Amino acid sequence: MSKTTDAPITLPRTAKGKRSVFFDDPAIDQMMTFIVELSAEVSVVYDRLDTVEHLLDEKGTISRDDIEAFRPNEEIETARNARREAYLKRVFRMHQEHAKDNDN
Amino acid sequence: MIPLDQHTMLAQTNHDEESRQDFVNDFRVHLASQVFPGNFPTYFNRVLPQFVKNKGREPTDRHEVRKVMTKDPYYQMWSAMQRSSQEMIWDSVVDSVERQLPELNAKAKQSGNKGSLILDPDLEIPKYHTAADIHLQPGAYHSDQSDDDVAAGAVYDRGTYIYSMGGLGTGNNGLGQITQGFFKNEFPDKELERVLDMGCTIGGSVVYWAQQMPDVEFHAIDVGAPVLRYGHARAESLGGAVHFSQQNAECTNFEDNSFDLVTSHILLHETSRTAIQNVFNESYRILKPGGIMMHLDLPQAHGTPPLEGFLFEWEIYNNNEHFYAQLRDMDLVEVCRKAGFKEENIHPKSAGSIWMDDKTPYADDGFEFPIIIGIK
Repeated sequence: MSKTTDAPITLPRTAKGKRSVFFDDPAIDQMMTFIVELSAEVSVVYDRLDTVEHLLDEKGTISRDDIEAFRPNEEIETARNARREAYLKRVFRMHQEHAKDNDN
Repeated sequence: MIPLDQHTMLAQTNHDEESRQDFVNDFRVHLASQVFPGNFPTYFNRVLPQFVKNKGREPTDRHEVRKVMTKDPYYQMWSAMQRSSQEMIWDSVVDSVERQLPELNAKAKQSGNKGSLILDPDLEIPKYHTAADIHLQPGAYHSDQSDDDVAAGAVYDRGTYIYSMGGLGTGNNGLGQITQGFFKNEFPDKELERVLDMGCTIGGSVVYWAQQMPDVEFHAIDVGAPVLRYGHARAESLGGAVHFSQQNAECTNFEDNSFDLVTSHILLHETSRTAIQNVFNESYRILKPGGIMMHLDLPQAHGTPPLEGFLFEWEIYNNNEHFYAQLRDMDLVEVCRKAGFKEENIHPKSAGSIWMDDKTPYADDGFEFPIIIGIK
């Protein structure tokens, strides 16, 4: 604290407290973080590409400012949400043969 | 994700930040709707039969279930993804806040004066708050990151909206909607002059109350300075007159017999067993005769089947909600008695999203929060 207002402020990125380990090998926990974060970035890139395509459809040429200023309308937002849902189902498909024929 | 309602303090997202937050929200929805439910067949078709085979009986409580479920690969995989999603909430929000922090700090300093803000730099932050960063929010609610800092509040505002997957409503005030709707139904004739909300963080609940009841004097307390600075500025922007002050709900500076209603919204489970008794004692002390104490919190363990009990406690062990473990088995009616409330004036109730005005994604899911009521 007490940093001057001129210097860029860096906020903490890690929570205080022991991190849970779920797998016998903690390296798998680490791998899961990599995989999920990477999936987020692919999704972000897809949305950005979608923005570029919509802008090109509308204007034929675009600038970076156009991309930053772009906000999806309801139709585009709905399409993106559906695309993301399908993407999540595809990438994070769980193996769960044991879960079939569950009568509980 | 349906966007949060705008107010002057809300950190604005750029193109990719918004997209990243959308992903985290949708990933959490995916986990909740597609992956989490698989824990049930995993347990009943794989884990339970093995347990019965080994022990000749079923598990008797959630603690026994924990010992075997935490070794199952399906549960491990879901947990690892759930944990990552929780960390990603904050990480996806911090970028926007970090970029705009000087501007947000300055805006908070210049906010209006329908309500007020009193900070106490000497207030001792309780151990249950400093032991670990609650909900994995880096820096928690009390750490200042800059001068006149609002970072924790700004991160909390967008973060809790994603955390709840929109369940708090676009005003981030769903719990306030629930308690107010419940209160009006339960006490239709109760006149209010002065109301206190304990553990208010950014004031999501109390500002909703203040917006709906502009003639009532609202006070709100929390131990965290940055969430209070942000909360005050947010309240002013939304036109809610609330008097915020930095105080510990266990021991406030309010006078005896001075409030008609004392509330809290999911505060108790973040504090200790001793602190909960102190909060109830303090509620009793500052209530006027006939005044109402109304604390809404997370479900307790009483009567919950072992598997559900175990799964519900995921947040205790994996999301820095350690103190919730103590609340799970507490007898809150007894806590009320010890605080001074008479037996006939203690009412354990519950309320859910049927009391919300907003239609959230979970408006009809039937989930109910316990509410413990004591009338002085």
